[in-house]
Amino acid sequence: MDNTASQSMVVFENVTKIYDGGVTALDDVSFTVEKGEFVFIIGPSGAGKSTITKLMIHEETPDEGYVRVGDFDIGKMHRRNIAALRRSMGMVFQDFRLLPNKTVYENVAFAMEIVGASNKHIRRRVSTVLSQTGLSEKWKFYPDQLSGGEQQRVGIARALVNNPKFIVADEPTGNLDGDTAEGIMELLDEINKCGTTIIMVTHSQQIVDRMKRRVIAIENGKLMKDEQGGYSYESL
Amino acid sequence: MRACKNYISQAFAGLWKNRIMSVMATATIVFCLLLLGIALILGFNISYVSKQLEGQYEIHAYVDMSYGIDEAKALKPSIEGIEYVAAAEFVSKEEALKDMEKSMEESASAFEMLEGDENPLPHTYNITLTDVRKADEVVTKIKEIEGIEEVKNRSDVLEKIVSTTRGAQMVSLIGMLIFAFVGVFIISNTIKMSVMARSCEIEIMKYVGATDWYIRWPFVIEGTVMGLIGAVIAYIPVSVVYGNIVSWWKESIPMFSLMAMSELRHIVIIVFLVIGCLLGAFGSLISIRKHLRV
Repeated sequence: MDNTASQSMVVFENVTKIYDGGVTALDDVSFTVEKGEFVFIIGPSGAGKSTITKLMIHEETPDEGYVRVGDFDIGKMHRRNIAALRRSMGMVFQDFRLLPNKTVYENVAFAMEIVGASNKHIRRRVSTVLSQTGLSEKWKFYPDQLSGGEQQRVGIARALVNNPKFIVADEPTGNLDGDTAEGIMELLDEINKCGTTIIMVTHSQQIVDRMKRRVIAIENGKLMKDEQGGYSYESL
Repeated sequence: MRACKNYISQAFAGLWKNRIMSVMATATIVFCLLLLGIALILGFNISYVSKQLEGQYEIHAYVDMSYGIDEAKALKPSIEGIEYVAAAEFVSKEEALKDMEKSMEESASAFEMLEGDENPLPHTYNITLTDVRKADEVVTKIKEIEGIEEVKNRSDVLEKIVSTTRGAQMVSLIGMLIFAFVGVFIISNTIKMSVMARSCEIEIMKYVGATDWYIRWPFVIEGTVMGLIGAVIAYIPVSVVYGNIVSWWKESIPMFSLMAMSELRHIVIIVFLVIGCLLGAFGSLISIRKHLRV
């Protein structure tokens, strides 16, 4: 591994992933994500975007090539270290994945309880994060009492609460209308400006065009383009 | 400590939330423990009864007819010195004749002719053993003692007792293992429904970085609590029913007795608690295994 790669948050080197049945999800894909970057991963359905996120959280392992996330070598790490890997990052999902029987506060605090944080620390940190995500007034609400945008804010607050080095957001605006999606993107942008690396998988051209950040385009499992400052869509 | 409290409160919340499943799983544990209890009590009683039969087992060593009573009595230390001999009771030829007279009262007059020098019976040693399996070895050694004319040993009866005991113990052990295996299978399937109801929660926990044991503990505690409750419930009918069987047996079949419930109580309680908890805990571990692969 060279020195540059060792400072990167995420490294994919010649990664190939073939699922059972012979479907090639990723074919010789290489890219790195540096600390503090905001990177979009785009591409049509079935292009291999989700496989990239699955590899990053060790839901899958590469068949060929090298994947490193933080200090974790995904291909070689032991199963018992998966929890530590996932604690080092925050995950945001398209379908929010909140616990319906827990309040907003409990849903966020839950991520800290898992890492064994003290009650005092949990109270202080959750309150800060809820304020940061604009949910201070809603801490007692249950997910079904919130709008889609608010639910996604809870998801982001949960991802943020353990001070992760980076956040992986898988289609976080996929279930939201335009204005709400914009609000979520503003929140992610603010988080990124505070130094947290963000890797976001999306379908939305609008968001990618507006944010003008680095874009990695995947199609048929191959890396088609890796550009800074937005993306020209004519090839996709 | 806080994590422990957390696991326990999650476990009880889970038990209450999925109370129908919890009752079903506990009922399964009770059923398995009842079967296990029957096999266990049967196994212990087979050993107990066969020990009684073994205790009644004696080797008869007949002294040379030419030996007087003092010479015959002098053989006692040699016999008792043999390994595995528990005791050697001396029965003089006179005593043997009296015993025979008693058992055949209607022909008592005939025995009058056999008293004194006419007594055809030899002096005898009735020998009991510490381990009846060593009977053949002991018989060989007794035969080597000078002055012993003949040794009678019902080895066929003995072999039957030993082989029946071993067979019955093996059957009850296999029975217990089968019940335990079937129990774990049924319980894991029952608990699986409770796990499936919480699969979404487990998945989210995995994604936010919960360790496998953080997720497992509440389920393991839940299974263990069901095992504990099941053990207590199963003990009640076992102790009541078996207590009544022992009383009935005492009156109906007095030749040999069954183990009293007071003698079995501790072992039954310990086995029920340990096996009940293990059934519940293993059932939970098996049912959650698949859901941790996220």
